[in-house]
Amino acid sequence: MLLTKDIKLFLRDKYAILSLLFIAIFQSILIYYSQSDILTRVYLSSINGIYTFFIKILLIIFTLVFLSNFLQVVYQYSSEKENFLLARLLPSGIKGAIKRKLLLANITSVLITQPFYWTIVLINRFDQNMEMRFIYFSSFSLLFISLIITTFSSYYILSRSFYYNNFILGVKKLLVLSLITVVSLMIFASLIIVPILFTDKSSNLVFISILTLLYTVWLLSRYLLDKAYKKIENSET
Amino acid sequence: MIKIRNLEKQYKQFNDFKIECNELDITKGEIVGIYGSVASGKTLFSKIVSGVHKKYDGLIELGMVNLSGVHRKLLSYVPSSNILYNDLTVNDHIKFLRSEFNVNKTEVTAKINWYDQFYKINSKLNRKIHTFTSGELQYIKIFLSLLHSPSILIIDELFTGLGSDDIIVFKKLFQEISEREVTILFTSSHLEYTKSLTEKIFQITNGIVEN
Repeated sequence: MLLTKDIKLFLRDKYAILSLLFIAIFQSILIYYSQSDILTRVYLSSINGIYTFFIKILLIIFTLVFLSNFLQVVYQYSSEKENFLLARLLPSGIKGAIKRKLLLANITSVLITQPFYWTIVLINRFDQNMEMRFIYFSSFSLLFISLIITTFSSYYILSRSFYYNNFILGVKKLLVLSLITVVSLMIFASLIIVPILFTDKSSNLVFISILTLLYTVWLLSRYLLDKAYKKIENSET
Repeated sequence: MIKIRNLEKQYKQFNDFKIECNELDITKGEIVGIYGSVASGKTLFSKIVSGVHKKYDGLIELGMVNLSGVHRKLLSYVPSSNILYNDLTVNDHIKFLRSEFNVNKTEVTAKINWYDQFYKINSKLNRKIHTFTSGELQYIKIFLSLLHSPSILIIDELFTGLGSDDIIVFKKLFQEISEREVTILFTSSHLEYTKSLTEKIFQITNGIVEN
């Protein structure tokens, strides 16, 4: 029930709706394009081709992670006025308000990436032509990456923007955040691609190590967000 | 209900502006006005008493409980600015606050019908916050602050956007709230309006609250 308020706030912004619509159209075009005969013939003719195609799909999904994150950066926190004054007066406090915003951002990010990923996997029959452990590994990695990026962005907004500007990031800070996100995604991409490229040599240990690393980075981003929340709670306006 | 002793708080961010209040006692159901000119410290004082600003020297007791331990359900604070969500309707805010404070639907409906005699809120439930004037918003803010039946109501700059006709309405509204044993503390820069609502008035000058 409490999350309803945040969902309504998000969906009543026409630019947020337009952005979601743009993402949906972008996804539909990609799904349609990925099914074309030319692509199937070129990529699915050899085992290496399948993996190259799969990596390209993953990189496109990273673009979606970036876009969904951008959505939350622009729309999630700007409705909070006077340094979360309303939240301060309520039983769940600032912590509850931030928790709900983060939850919504996580849900949005996961909903934008995971169904798209599995649609691409199933309609292109990756599940029949590739080892399932790669497919599951990539899905879990995507999940963690979505969580890391949204949590870090929440931390960045809360610690770098000015509360009297309703947590709206300036152009420079927005560009810096975008740069950090793109660089992080590139690092994550190289992490995920390594075991996929060396399919024969990769053991389950490699997958588990990468997932553990991603989990640790996620915990670290949660710690940073917690620090930002405490700073806001102790601030007076 | 509200007891303040030797309260002191200095604001570094506002050129070391200091809020001081040696003694202030407000009993249950009493209506008290804090009058002061522009930049006299009314907002800062109301934020300290309502627990928004937490660190201070001295004692503030609300209903025999030290302020730091007061649960949000006991007190309602109405700031002078609009802190509501502009894109949400009054009804959305009611639903949100209802679940935050765990208030049942019947109680809310009864409260809406009761408040309707002071301000026609029933016909405005589906209007978004940004469509209201500052005077209307003041009525909405006060209604929402009463939703969870607090024991103490603190209103900063009560008369923002209100005219003389509204003062008559507020006099009746405050009387009814006060009869329900709700303590009301409000700040204002209009002495005449303040006098028309209560006889118990404190003055704040350069951050010092005096009788």
